[in-house]
Amino acid sequence: MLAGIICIIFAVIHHDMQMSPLMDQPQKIRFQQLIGGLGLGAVLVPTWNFCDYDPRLQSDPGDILYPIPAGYPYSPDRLAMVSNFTEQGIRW
Amino acid sequence: MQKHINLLLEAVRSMLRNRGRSGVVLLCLLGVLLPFITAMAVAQGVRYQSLFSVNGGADLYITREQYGRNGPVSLEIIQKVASLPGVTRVVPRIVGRAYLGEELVVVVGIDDTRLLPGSNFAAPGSGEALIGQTLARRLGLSEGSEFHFGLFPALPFSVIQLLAPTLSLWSASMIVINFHDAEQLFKRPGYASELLVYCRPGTADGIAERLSSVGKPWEMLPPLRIQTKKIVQHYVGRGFDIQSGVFTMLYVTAFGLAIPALLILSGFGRGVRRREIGILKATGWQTLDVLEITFIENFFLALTGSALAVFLSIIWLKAGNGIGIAPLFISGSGWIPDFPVPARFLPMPALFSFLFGLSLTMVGTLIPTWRAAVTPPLTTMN
Repeated sequence: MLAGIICIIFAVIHHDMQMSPLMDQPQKIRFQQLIGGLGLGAVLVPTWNFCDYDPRLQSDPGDILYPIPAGYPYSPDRLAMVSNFTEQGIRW
Repeated sequence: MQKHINLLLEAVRSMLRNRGRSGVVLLCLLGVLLPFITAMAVAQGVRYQSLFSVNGGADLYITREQYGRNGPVSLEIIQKVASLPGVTRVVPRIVGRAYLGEELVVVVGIDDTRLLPGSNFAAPGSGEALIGQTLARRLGLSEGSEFHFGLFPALPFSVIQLLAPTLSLWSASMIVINFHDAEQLFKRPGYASELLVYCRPGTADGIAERLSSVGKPWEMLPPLRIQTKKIVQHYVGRGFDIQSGVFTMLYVTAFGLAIPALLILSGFGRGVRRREIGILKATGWQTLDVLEITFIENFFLALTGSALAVFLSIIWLKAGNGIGIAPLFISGSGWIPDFPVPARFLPMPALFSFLFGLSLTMVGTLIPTWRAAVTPPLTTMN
């Protein structure tokens, strides 16, 4: 049982190391450099708003303004378990 | 020290002797921990991918204010921004969305003529497009295929390269075209959705302050909106920390109900357990010794349960690519995702899973064990 646990732990470490900056990440960085950094949230397509996809594009979720201002956020992405962006301070 | 080693060995023997009870507790732990770990791992994986986006992005993002939201910015201010001390480069970008057939896609218009050494792709020229591989497969496109958007049918594009799903989570539904083509496509020539400003290290805040004072209040031009990399990093920190924290809190609350379930299930074999404790007490074991052996048993059960849960989660997310669970965490993903689902298991998901499992097992067994240990042996052995 102990050997099994140790093997599992090594499998986890190996899995996470595959995502480390040392391995196969230059292409990811270069792609993001090409497009100027795009994509932050756990959303593949900004169907409801750009805020949950990348708050740099839209810092506030538009669905709280329409149809009922300050009302319920209709976007299902707002209920995401993984990421949810609120408006941060932006300079004017 | 020898005493504690003996207790440890006895705990292991007790677990192996009561295989049924140990197995039931392990299964309960797996049922509780597996979805929890998977969700936490996906959250950490997406967050890790977003760091590439933050670090590969610009130092400043400039848009115009439009009804309290981000609006397009004129290309005329590029010269003014580029002339500020510390600015090395200003790149206009258009990010929008459009329908391609039935698919809603993200369209990125970029005009970056830099050669990125070591990269497998370059910025597209006029009439060219880079398209996400998963999107291309859904649309039946391949390298060399031609397509056009319904928004501007007279503007044809040719696919010059497919973007691998491993490049970025967000490239799955992305089309990268030339900036000037994007100007025509979205019918706003002379405007960009944002300006990407790259500057020398340490100068971003100063440049942002100077840009904030560009324009006079009486001018009929909305003010500039400026986001720095620091602000963006706050987005990532808060957006993931708070959300996964809320998820953890709700999950722990919901599965606090698992404790009574485990109490009942750990009572499976409870009579045998009480008699065992009675025998141990009758043969001279102290209450603390009994509690220690129970603690060690629970520690191993929690360790085994959480390790198994992590292992199964790895299989689910890695080999199975998150079948059935990815759409719950990544909006827009299908039940069988056609991109590698990002996941990271160390350190927080694995640690939380172990601590959660330990708490569940301890609360479920320590109190009944203590109660049995302080009861006269004659009573517990009957």
